Amino acid sequence: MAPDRRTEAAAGGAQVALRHLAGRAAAAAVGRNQRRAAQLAISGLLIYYVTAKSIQISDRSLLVLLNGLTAAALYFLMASGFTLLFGLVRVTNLAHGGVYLLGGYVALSVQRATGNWLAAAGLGFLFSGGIGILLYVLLRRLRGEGLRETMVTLGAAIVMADQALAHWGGVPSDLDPPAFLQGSLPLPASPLLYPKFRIAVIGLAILAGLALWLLLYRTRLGMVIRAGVDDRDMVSMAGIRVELVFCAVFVLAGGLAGMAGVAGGTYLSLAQGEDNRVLLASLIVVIAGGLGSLRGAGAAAVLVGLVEAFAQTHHAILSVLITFGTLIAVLALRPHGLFGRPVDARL
Amino acid sequence: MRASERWRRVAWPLAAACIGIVVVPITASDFVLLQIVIKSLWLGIAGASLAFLIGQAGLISLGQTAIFGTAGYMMAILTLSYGLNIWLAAACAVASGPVAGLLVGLLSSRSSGLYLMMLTLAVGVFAFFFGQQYQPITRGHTGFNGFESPVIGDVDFNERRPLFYVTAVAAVLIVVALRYVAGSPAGLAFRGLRDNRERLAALGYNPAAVTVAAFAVSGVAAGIGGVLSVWYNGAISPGSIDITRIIELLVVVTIGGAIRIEGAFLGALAVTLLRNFASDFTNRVETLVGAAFIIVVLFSRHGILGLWLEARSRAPQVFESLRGQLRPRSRAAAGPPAR
Repeated sequence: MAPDRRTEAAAGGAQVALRHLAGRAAAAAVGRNQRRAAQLAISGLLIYYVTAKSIQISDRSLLVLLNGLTAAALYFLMASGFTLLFGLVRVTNLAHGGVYLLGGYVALSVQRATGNWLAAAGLGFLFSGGIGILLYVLLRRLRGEGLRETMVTLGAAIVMADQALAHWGGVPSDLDPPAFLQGSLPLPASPLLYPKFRIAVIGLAILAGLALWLLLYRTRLGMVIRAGVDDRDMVSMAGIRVELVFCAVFVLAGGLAGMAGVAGGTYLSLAQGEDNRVLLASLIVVIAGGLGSLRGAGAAAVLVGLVEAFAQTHHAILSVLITFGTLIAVLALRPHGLFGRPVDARL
Repeated sequence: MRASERWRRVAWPLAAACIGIVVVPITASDFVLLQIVIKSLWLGIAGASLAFLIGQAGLISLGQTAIFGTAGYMMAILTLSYGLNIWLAAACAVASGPVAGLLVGLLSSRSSGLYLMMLTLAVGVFAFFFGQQYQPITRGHTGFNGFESPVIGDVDFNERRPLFYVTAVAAVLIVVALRYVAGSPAGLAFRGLRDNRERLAALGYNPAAVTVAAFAVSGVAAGIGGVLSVWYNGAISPGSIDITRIIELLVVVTIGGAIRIEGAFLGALAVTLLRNFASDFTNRVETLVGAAFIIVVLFSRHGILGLWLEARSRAPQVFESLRGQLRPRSRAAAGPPAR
C-alpha cells in the first residue's frame, strides 16, 4: 500500500473511532457517569494524538511499533513471572530485577568462556531458577506476612545489585547474539531493516506466553496453581503439597526473569542500575495489568511498551514521565489494574 | 492520676532529649557530629514521616522522597534561582511539604496495601525523573549546588554546632507533634485505617479522606527533612531522591521499627553507623546493609525497637521464672528439719 493511501486509511479509521468515542462520552456525561466520561475522553484524546503524530511520519511509526513490541516482549517475560508469584504465593518479589541482572551476567560469563550463546542462555536460565529456590527458602519462615516478605526481597535486591557490581564491575557490557540471529531483516512494505534478534525476542515472548498458557490451563500443575491462586488453603486440604508447588513457581518466575536477562543483555546491555529500571518497568506492567493476572500482564506489557517507545521517539525529554503518567492514569481510573480483581492484597 | 502518668511518660524522654542536645555537641568529635549525628537526625526526620504513615495509618508509602524532594527543591529553587530571602524560602519550602503530601495522598487515596505501595513507588520515581528531565526548573541531572545556609549575627548555620541544634530541635519537635497527633482522635482514625478499613467506613469515616489527611501530616515531617537535608548537604539533585533513596528510607524505618515514631531515628543511626564504619573493613557495604536488613526483618516484626520492646515485656517473665527456679531450692534448704 502506498504511504499516502495508508495515511488516508489510518485517518479515516481514527475519525470513525473518535466519533464513536465522542458519542459514548457524551452519553456517559449525560448519564452523569463522570468517571466513564473522563475515561472515554482521555482514550479519545490519546487515539487522536497518536494517529495525528504517526500519520506525519509513517515509516518511523512502524519502527516505533516494533521497538515498542520488543520492549513489550521483555516486560512480558519479566512481568509474567512476577505476576504468577504474586498470584499464587502473594509475594511481591522486589528482587526480580536482581534475578534479571544476575541471570544476564552469568550468561555473559558463560559466553565469554565458551563462546556459545545457547549454552549461555541455558545456564543463565538455570542459575536464575536456582536463585528462585534460594528466595523460596529465605521466605519460607514468613509465609503469609506480605509486608515482611516484600522487605526480605528488597534486602535480597540490595545484596544482588551489590554482588553484581562486585563480580562484573560497573562498565556496561552485553552478550553477542547467536550467529543465526545476527544481522537485520527487511521489513515488508517498507524500505527499512530491523535487527533479527529483536524480532526473535518478540517471538520468544509469544512462545513463553503460549507455553505458560498451556502450563496453566492444560496441565495438572497448572490446575493446582490456578486453584492455589483462588484458595490455597483448600488446595492443601485436598492433599496437594502446596509448598512444592510454591517452590516450582519460584523456580519458574526466576527462570523467566533470567531468560529476560539473557534477552535484554543481548539486545540492550547489562549495567549497574539496569535491575531497577527493568524491575520498575515490569512493576508498572504488572500493576497496570492487575496483580496476579497473566492476561493483564500481556495486555499491559504491550500498552506500556508502545507508550514508552512512542514517547521516546516523539517526546524524548518527557518520555519517562509519560510512561509513569500512563500508570498513574490507569490506577486512578481502575485501582486494581486493567484485568485485576480486588484480591486480598492487604499487608 | 492519668494526666500525671501521661506527663511522666512524656517527661522522661523529653528530659533525655534535652540532655542529649546539650551533651552530644560537647562530647562528640567533629567527625561524629557531622557525619553521624546530624546525618542520622535529618534522615530520621524524613524516616519519621514514613514511620508515622506505616506505624499509625498502615500506609506503606514509597513516595515520601517525592515530598522530601519537593521541599528540598523548593528551598534550593527559591533561594538560588529566584534569590528569595532565605527564611521566607525556608517557610515556603516547609509549607510545600504538607501540600505535596496532600497531592500524593489524593493520588493514592483509593488504594491500600500493596497497591498503595506500588502506586506511591510510581509517584516517587516520577518525582525523580521530573527532577532529572525537566531542566528549565530543576536544572536536570546536576541539580543545585552551592546552597548557603542562613547566618544570623555570629550564628552561622553552615557550621556544625548551630546546624546540630537546629536539626535536633526540629527532630524533637517533630516527634512530639507526631506523637500528639497519634494520641488525638485523628490518630485513632488513622489506626482505624491501619487495622480495618471497612470497619472505619462503617463507623462513618471516609477512608479516602483519612488517607489524604495522614499523608498531609506526614508531609510536614518529610518537608522539614527535605529542607534540612539541603542545609546539611548544601545541594540537591535527582540523586537525592532516586530509587536507592526510596529504598534507604524504607530500610531505615524497617530496621528501626515503625511501631514508634522514634524507631526511625534508631534505624537512621544504625544505617549511618553501618555505612560509616563498615567501609573501613570491606568494599561491599551495601551487601552488608542488605544482609543486616534481611536478618532484622526475618527475626523481628518491628525492627530493633521491636526486639527491645519484646525484651522489656518479657523481662518480668524471665525474672519470675528465675525466681521460680530459686524458690524450690531455698525451700529445700529451709525444708523439713532432718531427723
